Amino acid sequence: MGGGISKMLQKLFGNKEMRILMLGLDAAGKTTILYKLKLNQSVTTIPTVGFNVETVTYKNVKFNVWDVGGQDKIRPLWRHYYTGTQALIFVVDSADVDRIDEARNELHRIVSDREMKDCLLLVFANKQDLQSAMTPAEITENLGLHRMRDRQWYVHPSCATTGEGLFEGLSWLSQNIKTP
Amino acid sequence: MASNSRDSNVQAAVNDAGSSEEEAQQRNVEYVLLAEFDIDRGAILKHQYPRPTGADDSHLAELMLPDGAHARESDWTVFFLNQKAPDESGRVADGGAPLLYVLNLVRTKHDKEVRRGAVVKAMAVCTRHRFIHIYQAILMLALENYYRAPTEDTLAELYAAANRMDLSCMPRLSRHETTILRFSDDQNMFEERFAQLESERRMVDAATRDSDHDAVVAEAAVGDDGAATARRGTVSEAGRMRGSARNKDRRFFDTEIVYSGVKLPIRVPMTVYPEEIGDFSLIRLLTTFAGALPASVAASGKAAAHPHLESSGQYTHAITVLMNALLTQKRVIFLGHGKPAGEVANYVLAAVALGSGGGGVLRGFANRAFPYTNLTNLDTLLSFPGYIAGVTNPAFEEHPEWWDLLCNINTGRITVSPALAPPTGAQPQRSQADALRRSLDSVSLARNRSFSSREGKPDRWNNSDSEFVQDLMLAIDRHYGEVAIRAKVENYVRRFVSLVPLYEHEHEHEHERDGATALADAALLIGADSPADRDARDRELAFYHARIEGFIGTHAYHNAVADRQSQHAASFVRGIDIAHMVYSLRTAANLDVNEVEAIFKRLDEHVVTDEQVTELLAALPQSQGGLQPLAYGFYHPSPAIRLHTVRLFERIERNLAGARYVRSTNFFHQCAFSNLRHAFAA
Repeated sequence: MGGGISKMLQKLFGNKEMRILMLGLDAAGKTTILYKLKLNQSVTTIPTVGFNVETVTYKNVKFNVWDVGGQDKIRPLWRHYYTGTQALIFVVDSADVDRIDEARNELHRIVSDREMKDCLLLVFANKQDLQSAMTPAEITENLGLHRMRDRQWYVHPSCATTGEGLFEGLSWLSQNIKTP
Repeated sequence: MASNSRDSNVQAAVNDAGSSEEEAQQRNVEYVLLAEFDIDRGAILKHQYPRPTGADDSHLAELMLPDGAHARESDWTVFFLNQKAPDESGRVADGGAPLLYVLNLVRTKHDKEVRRGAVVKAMAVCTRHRFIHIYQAILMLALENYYRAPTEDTLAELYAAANRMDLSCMPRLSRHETTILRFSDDQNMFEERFAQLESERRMVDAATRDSDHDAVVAEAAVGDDGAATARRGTVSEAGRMRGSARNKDRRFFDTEIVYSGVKLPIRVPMTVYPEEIGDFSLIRLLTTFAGALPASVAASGKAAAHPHLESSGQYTHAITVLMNALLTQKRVIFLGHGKPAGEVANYVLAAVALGSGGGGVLRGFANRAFPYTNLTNLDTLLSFPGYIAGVTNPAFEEHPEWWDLLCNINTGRITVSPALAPPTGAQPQRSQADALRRSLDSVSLARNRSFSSREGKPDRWNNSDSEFVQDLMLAIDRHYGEVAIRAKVENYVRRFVSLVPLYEHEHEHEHERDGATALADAALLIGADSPADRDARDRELAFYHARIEGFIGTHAYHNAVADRQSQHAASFVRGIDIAHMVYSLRTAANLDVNEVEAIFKRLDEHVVTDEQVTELLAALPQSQGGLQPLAYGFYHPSPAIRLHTVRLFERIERNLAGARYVRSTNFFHQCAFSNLRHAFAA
């Protein structure tokens, strides 16, 4: 009964919940993004052992963000986090030209999983403050996003340390979330 | 001479399943490990000393660097090596490498100088000692040293120091002696055993120090008897020894580890049971989940209660659900999201003690326990039916196909997996019978409420399970200690296990099951129960019916069958079931004179030697009244029973621990004993 009422309230005020998985190569800036969103301050992060999970509320949407460590060896574990994921935030270090191919391979591997077939894809072209950063268009090209036909995707430039671009990304997610 | 005495010491310990001659000469620490989190490659195992453990490197590294290690300064994890996955038949092969207990310390140090600002390292010791917590202090020092000097030498130093820890003066108590000491109010229960080893040690020390060989030889010649040595020792030395002994708590053995010039005092607990590992708190486990409403089942939207778990239907107490899950070998996960891994591990270790009956009744829980584990270990975990695991990753909560029971430490909720299938086999036939009984019950219920409970239908509100849980909670409220709480759990599980052979005996004809009669043979040694007792027992059997079915065939069950057989072979008291007799004397209100006489007569006949007396004393823990049940024999109208009691007490008094038992009985019993003794002597 209590559950029923809260469901009604949720409908009235449009409180949506969204489960988000944030992945990317190591040192792309996932944890920095997470805590910038959560605390609105730039924290110095250290490599994530395992994972972090936080809830961020933005525009009446409760984002449940899972940030999983990106080291080569622990990438096989990513799949255990797929179940129930509505959106994937893929974070790319825009200045890391050497590893952009590696990032593309990982991204395609993730989205080809059966459990991820319906989820939204938001790519943060992170570290835009760096001189050598690739532009969002270059990132789109290098990640081969144009080849993804059956998926809603969006690339947004960001700078995790200042917070630029992050909330725009979340806005896109909240606008495109499918109500179950 | 010293080696002679050690042999005799080992002889005394032969009855203890855990200790053997081999173990007496084993190292304290088998391996020292070091792992670190490489910022490019993830968790890697850096060193293994003195040689590789044989386990997979990356697997070890992942368990040493728990999820979220980057978010806290330090954390502990516990895991085991050489766990054996059961084969298709559900049995676990005996033998092979022994289970090793691993205590691991992980530390994150922030450092502006290094790339990405932090260094995460972990160091672990692998040991056969169940009291792993004694190595906490040395691990802290050694890991700190490793940050300064990151070489294998640091591991070697720890290894050498830990293995120099001297346990040679620690008496190896047999299983029965351990039980006696564990529940004794008298911390000096086995003082003589300590004193003997200590005096031998002093002599050996003196011998090595003393250059005068003749004197040593002369002294050693008399030294065969510990008492004689004490008498011959100088007055001042003997006095000092006695003085120090009086202040010592002999439930612990005091020793030390000297590590890089620091003396670390170590207290080894003498009273640990085989499935008690580390320094956990069962009280904590019970209080965390006691408040949980049994709403978990209703919430999961499941229609029918699982007969193994929800033994009293929808309203089964959460602790009972947990206990049932452990006894029927369900997969249990303790989830503590955001909690230190060390805390989660302690819940798992406490659950091992809960299921195994305070650590002392059933065996095999530690073999399937994963005090701390994570996603990297998932495949291994799922290969163990009925694993008990601790995790900090909430991803486990979202995969109910991985577990049967999930205990959330943060919320105190216990959830039964919606994916858990009802048991197969004899089930349909029984549920039919149940349905029949239920319909009969509804008829009888209208007429007479109590009738239905006598028919064997469990009373949902008032049964031995809820009594047990209430009793536990009351005891915790009254600030009873860990030992007392574990003893209550031990009694409960012991009672449950004692019902299994009765159940098998009754159902022998229904389904021939392999090994079904193995336990049954041992039971019913004293048959003449009164009708009232039999009635109570039948009710109990009906009440535990589903869980006994669930228990049969589990790893713990197979171990219990094997133990029963080997205990019968190794037991000092043959032909009678002491535990059952004591249970009858304690609880049965309807014993008639002949039965009481039969019990005392058999005890008098069978309990003769020192070992047999020790075994009897172990069945009469002091915390549960000690000799009280026997002492009532002094006041029995039958002179034969009085005579048996006196003879039994005289024998008990000649046993070292027994003398302390007799002295601690109340004044009236002691008077009765001495009066009757004189009367019979005259």
